[in-house]
Formats: sequence, C-alpha cells, structure tokens
Amino acid sequence: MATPASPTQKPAATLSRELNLFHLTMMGVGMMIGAGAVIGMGLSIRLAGPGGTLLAFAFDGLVALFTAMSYAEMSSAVPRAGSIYNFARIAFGRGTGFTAGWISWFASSVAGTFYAVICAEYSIDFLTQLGLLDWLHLSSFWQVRLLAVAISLLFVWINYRGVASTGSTASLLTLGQTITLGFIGLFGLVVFILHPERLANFQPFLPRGWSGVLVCMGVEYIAFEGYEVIAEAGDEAIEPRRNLPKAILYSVLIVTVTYVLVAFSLIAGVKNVGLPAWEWLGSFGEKGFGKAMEKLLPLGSLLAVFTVIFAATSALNSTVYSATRACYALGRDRMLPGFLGRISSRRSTPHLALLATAVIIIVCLFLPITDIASGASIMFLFLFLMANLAVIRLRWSMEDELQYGFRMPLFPLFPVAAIILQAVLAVFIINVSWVAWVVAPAWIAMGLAVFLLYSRSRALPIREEILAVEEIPLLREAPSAGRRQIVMPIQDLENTLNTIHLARRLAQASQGSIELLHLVSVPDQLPLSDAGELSLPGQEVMVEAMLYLSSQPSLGTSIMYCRNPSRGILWEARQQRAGAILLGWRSAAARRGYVFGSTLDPVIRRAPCDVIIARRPGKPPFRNILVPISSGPNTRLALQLAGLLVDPREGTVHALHVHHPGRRIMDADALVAGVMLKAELPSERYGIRILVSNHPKRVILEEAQNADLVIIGASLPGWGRRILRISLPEEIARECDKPMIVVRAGRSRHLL
Amino acid sequence: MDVEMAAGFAVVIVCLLAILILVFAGRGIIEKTYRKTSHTQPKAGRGSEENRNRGDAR
Repeated sequence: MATPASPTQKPAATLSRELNLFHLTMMGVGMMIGAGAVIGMGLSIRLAGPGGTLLAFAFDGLVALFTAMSYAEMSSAVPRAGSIYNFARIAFGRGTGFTAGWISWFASSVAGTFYAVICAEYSIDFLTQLGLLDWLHLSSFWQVRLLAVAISLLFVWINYRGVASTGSTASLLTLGQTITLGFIGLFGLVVFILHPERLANFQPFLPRGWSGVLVCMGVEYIAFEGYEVIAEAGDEAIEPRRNLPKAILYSVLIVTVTYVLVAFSLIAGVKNVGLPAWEWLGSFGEKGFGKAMEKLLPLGSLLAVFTVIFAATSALNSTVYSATRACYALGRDRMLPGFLGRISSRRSTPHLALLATAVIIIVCLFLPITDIASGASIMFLFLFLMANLAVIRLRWSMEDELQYGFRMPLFPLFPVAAIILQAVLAVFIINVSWVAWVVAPAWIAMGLAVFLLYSRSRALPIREEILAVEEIPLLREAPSAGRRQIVMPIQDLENTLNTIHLARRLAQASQGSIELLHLVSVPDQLPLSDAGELSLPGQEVMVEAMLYLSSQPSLGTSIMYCRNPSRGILWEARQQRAGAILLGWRSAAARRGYVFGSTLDPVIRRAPCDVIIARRPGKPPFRNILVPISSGPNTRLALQLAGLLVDPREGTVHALHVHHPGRRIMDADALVAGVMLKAELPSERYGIRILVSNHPKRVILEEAQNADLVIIGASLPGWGRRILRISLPEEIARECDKPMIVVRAGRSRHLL
Repeated sequence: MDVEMAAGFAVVIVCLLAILILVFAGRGIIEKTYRKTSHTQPKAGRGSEENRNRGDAR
C-alpha cells in the first residue's frame, strides 16, 4: 500500500508541458523534411522521370497520411512519452511493446547520426570552397566526423536545456527550412508562369513508366516518416488530445505540398542544358538538387547548401528528441534500467536517457552510416506496420475504455489500406545493402534478448494492463484434455450465491471445470501494485463460493488487479481458453448507452466463448422454462441450456416464437428438433408455441409470468446491434421480473 | 500538353486535394471531440498553474 507523502518529501520531477500546436507541427515537419529527401530529389527524378517524381511524392503523401491517422488516433487516446512502445504494449503486450520501443529508440538515434553526417559533409564542403579549412591537416573523413560529433553534442545540449528550448529550436530551424523550400517552390511557379514553354521539361511525363513511379515511391517513402516524434511528445504537449493529432495531420499536409512544389520547381527551372531536363538533373544524382538550384536562382548553389544544412539540423534536433523519449519511456516502465527513466529536477528533461541516446549517435558516426541508416529505414517500416495493427486492435478491444481525442473516419479502411500499400512499397524499399539486413535483425534480436533476460521480470505494470497477483489453477483434479472451463467472475455475495448452482450444473453437464475469478477493479489514481486491500471483500466472497462448490471435482481460483473489469474477464477467458463466461446480473438500471451495464456489455460483445448472464436463476432443475426463439446461434444455445436445466421427469421447455404478420414464418419445429438431436435431449420435454402478434415484447412478457425461468438469446452482437438498434431480448430481460438467463453463443469456443 | 501529362498533373492535384480534405476532416473531428471533452485535458503552458506549482515544489 502506498504511504502518503510527507510534507517535507521532495516531489518527483516530471516532464514539463510546454509544447503548443506550432512547436509540435514544426518538430514533425522538421523530422520529415530531412536532408535525405532534398538530396534524394535528383535520384528520384532519375528513377521516375519528371512526372513520375511528382506522382511518387503525391502518392507517398497519401499513404503516409493513412499511417499518420493511426498515430494521430492512438496518440490522442494514449498521450504519453513512448509513442509506439505504449501503443504496442497496450494492444499486444509487454514483449511486442518493448520490441517496438527498442526499435524506435535505435532507428531514431541512427537517423540522427545520418543527419549529423550530412550536415557536417555539406558544411565542410562549403568551408573548403571558401578556403577556410586550408590550415587543417586532417583527412576529409575525420573532418566530417569530428564536426558531426560537435553538431550532435550541440543538439544534445539543446535538448538537455529543456523542452521549450528544443521546441523553439525546432520551430526556428524548421521555419527557416520550410520558408526556404516554400520560396524555391513559389519561385519555380513564377518562372513557369513567365515561361510556359518550360512545360516541355515534363516531356515525356513518365519515361520510366509506372514501375519507375513505384521504385521512386519505395525509395522516398521513408522521407515521410517523422510524425512519430509528435506522438512522443504526449507528456510535454499542451492539450495533448487535441494538439497531437492535429500536428500529425498538419505535418503530413505541409510536407507533401512542399515536396511536390519543390520537385516541380527544380524541373521547371532547368534551361539550355542540351538534354531533356529530367535526364540532366538525374545524371547528377545526389547533387541534382544543387545543380537545379544553380539554374533556378542566382546564388542558387549557396541556397542549396543552406537548405540542406537547415534540413539536416532540424531533423537532427527532432530525432534526438524522439529517440530520447523512446528510451525514457522504456526506463520509466523499468523495461530498461530505471535510471534511464529519471527526469532532471532542474531542467525537467530525461537527462540520462538523453546521454544514452547521445552515446548511440556518436558511436554510429564511426560506422558505415549509410548502410546502418538503411537498416533504420527497414525498422521504421516495421514500426509503421505495428502502428496500423495496433490501432485496429485497440479499437476492437479497448474502444470503450480509451478516451479518444480523434477517431479516424471510415475505420478500418485507412489502416488496412496502409498495411497493404506499405507491403507493396516494402518490395522496393528492401533493395538496400546487405549490411542493412544484418543490422535490423541484429538489433531486434538484441532487443529480444534484453527483454527475456532483463525486462520481462522487472517491467512495471502500466495503467491499461491486467495484473495477475495470485493464480491457483488447480485445487483438486487436473482438467482432462479437452475439458471446457467456465470462468465465473466473483461479484457481491448475493449475486455469486445466486449463480453458483447454475455454475455447478453447467460444469457437471459439460464435464468442465470452474475457474472462480476475483477481479479487483483499481481506480486510476492508485497504482496496480498498491491495490492489496481492495481485494479483501472479494476474497471473503470467494471463500464462501468455494465452500458451496466443495463437491466440484475441478476448481481453480485467480485474483487479478485491473482498471477495467470487462477487459479483465475477457483476458482471463482468453488465457484459460474458456468455453463459457458465467456472470450474475442484478438488473439494476444500466448507465446511459449500456444495456446490461458497462462491464457486461463489452463482455457480451467481445467474448470469444459462450456468455451466460443470469439474474436470480435459483437452483435447478426447473419445471417450466420459457425460451423465446428466433433464428441464430444464440437461440440454439438458449434451447440447449434449457434442456440441461429442466426437470428431466416433470419439467417442460416451452419454445415460444412470436410471429410478426407479414414476415416469413420461421421453421421452429426444425430448429428445436435440430437442437434436441445434437444435444441428445429428450423430445418429450420440449413444447413449441407459435403466436402471431405485432407486439412480440408484450406477448413474451405475458407468457413469462407462468414460467419458473426465462432463457433468451442476446440480440445481434457488436456493431450490428449498435447500428440497427435491435435490442428486443435485452428489453425483455430488463422488463421481465422473473428469474432470467441471457445467453450469447461464442464465436470460436463453446461450452456445450 | 499531351493527354498523359494532363492526366498525370490531374492525378497529382487530386491526391493533394484528397490529403487536404482528409486533414481538414480530421481537424473537424478533433475540434468536435475537444468541445465535448475539453475539461479533461491538461492545459499547462509556460507560466501556467501546473508549472508554477512545480516551481513552488522545487
């Protein structure tokens, strides 16, 4: 249990919220318009031709926006430093989360190294041309590397000074670079308007065909990565649920328009070169950007150098920030040593994570950086894939629980499209050096080793997790192979005792075992690990239930801490591969928007196994059971269950179908006969009644007055019920005052 | 301008427009959600109450 802080206790340092929408957008744009894309412009024109380059940038922007929407949605729901690490951990568990964080840390650090080297190379070239380095007797390699170390340390220091300093620096650099590129783009447009004959530079439009466009898309796609730096700022953004998704979307728009405009201007600016413009530009490869600038503007080559330096430094600033936050998040949750998660009380920055990131950046400076950066590109693609899968998983499993600031429209169209399109692009991205294919798996393998040997046992629970604190899977007899388990969450004593006879009868009929599950719902303010006292009342109920089940041949118990009981129940049902979940229901008025309640509704909707919800069912067998029937698996399960609970000598199951005039008549006889045959139930215990009425609810409620128990199948699960608002069974369940059981057949596993 | 070039430019413009529409549709969704839930978001900035408290605690 947590002890209250004493007044003299030093408060823990936290990250400081100082980044506004402008800072966040500029950080994202800064990381995306890295020097790579500017330098790669010549290469792109060579690969795809003039029109193909424009098309490739526009298509890449669209594909990037699809993944950006996933980041925007998740960062608005989980605005926390760690970005993809948090998303993957919540969606898929600790191992996947750690791998994502580990990759993100390394890939961002290596990208930072790459930008530091580019910045240093261009600066040294420029200074050499001016003759300012003649006195320096060092090889070009060492000149570049030493300057790159100095530049890296400068940006590590800027990041150390505080997030406001990082954001302001990013804004200044990115603004400088974006204004320069925007000026180039607009100047090119003006040139084109004044000289419309330059349209001939775009002739032929697609000299390399569509395959050239695809290759160019693959090569340049990675230039659109960078919005994850915005998601990393979840702990430092002002109004994160609003500003993070906005900044992510804006940055993709700004970057795509800038790339297309600049590419257009460079091609339109070429004149009198004796070759088609695209061939001439493409022939210079990485220097194509500078050559085109010479043709477009007076002092163009100088402007090109400054553009590249601006682009490289702003990207370096953002990558240092991003890598540091990824490392900090791993340290904060003890996935890596805890000192990496410490915050400087003076600067409110994660100074030790920053130091660790600086070490990686500087070490990589002395390795074959182009090859390692290609490895980082592969890892970024892997992270994008993970982000798109995570957004789908989170919507399906935790939609009710998360507070979204942005929910993408037309879900899941965009993440699915992103996965498919990125898979296509990956075919072209993989055409990189073999070193990249060694570096990426080697880093991932190292991460897995760290996780297995260190992180798995030490990781702290996060608020969305479920923590199993005590599991006694077997009290008496080992479950036989194929034996189905009934997960029975313990509630209050009255509810538990009301359902316990039903549990025993079900276990007996299915030859299954019962798992008593005590879920301790822990409030958000309390850490999961400090929730011990909250479990005491439930433990008393559990002991009582175990006494009632003393004759049960196979019985297990579990105690778990979680924030959300419904997800805890579903988690346990999946872990145990349960055949059914049995829950008591008090029939209290449910919260607005729920049928049975905020715990039961998600369980009914998402359970992989049968769900049985019982309200005061009493002790079987029953003499008169009413089962309102319609078509579908839930009705079949209701009939099967009625067969188990009815008195085998004197009882009757009344299958009641209320036919709505004007609709097709259902073959109730065939349905009941089919269930009896399959479940080997005696036919003399079943009776079928078909009534015609426009008011089925009223008829069923009247018929229910004569029954000892009503068993009804739930309505359409999930989206269908929400959209169509079909909830007749639920309405009956709420209005009928008789003992009642509501059932929903499982999607993949069944008890009976 | 030949047909291929005209179609190519049209596709580029359509893509940019699609991005623009999606981004502003997203912005609309974010603002709408924000109006409903603004009371739950941290609003600390430079000189805000949250940061002043942190300073006091130091």
